[in-house]
Amino acid sequence: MSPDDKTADEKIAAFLGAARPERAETAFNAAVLERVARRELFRSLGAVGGVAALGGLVLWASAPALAAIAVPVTQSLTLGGAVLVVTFSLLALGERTIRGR
Amino acid sequence: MDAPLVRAARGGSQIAFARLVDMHQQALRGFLRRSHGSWAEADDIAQETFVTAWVQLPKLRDETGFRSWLFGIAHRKALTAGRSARRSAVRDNAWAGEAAMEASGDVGPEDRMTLEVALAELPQDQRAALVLCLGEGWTHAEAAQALDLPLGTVKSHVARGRDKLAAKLGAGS
Repeated sequence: MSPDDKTADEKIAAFLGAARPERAETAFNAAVLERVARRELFRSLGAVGGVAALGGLVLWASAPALAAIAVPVTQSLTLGGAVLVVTFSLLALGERTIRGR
Repeated sequence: MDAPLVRAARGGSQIAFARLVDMHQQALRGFLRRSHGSWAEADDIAQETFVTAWVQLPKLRDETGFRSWLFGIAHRKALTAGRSARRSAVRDNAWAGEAAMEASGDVGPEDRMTLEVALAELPQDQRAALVLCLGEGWTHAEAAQALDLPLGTVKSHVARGRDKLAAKLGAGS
């Protein structure tokens, strides 16, 4: 049947339907999925960033209280650390001295 | 047919969503090319539609209504995407669609140009209803659901749109 033999309804239906691509294009699928994957990446980055910002805010807000706890602890750790360094140094020196003999 | 894939995609499966894209892309792109009027923009809008569908999948209540929901998103995007470039796009669209239309051989070039111009003159809702019902073979009820229009309005759009196109064809031949 040539195009001229068709009725108006057939021509309209053929015209409207002919805009549809003949087959599903993988390039189109890939473009959509790339955009979806990028969106998911940004969404998870945003979530991680949000959690990090919230954590930072909490730490900043509680800094005075943390400092009150942390300073004595670090001071005592410093004293303990110094004692440990001296002790291990003496032990190492002592071991060398014994081996030297 | 869509429901299991929609369920899986809603659970975060991009593989299931890729299958949905593969199943619906031809019809959606065809619909947008005709209803939006710009072939150049139609594929961009189709891509945006699928991305929006991915994001809004958790809001979809009826899994079996995925197709009409998807086309509804596309129609709203097309409405906001631009109403201005349509008339100037008629010439470009005729050129862009020429290869496909000639390959199909279903409509002669003269009738095709007549229909291009006549379709571009219709309001966008009417054009969308016409493309879904006469081009894609949807029922009036399905089109009404997708386009968020009353059933009577869709029936009227299709009947009047069809009459206008047929009249132009009659006048042209």
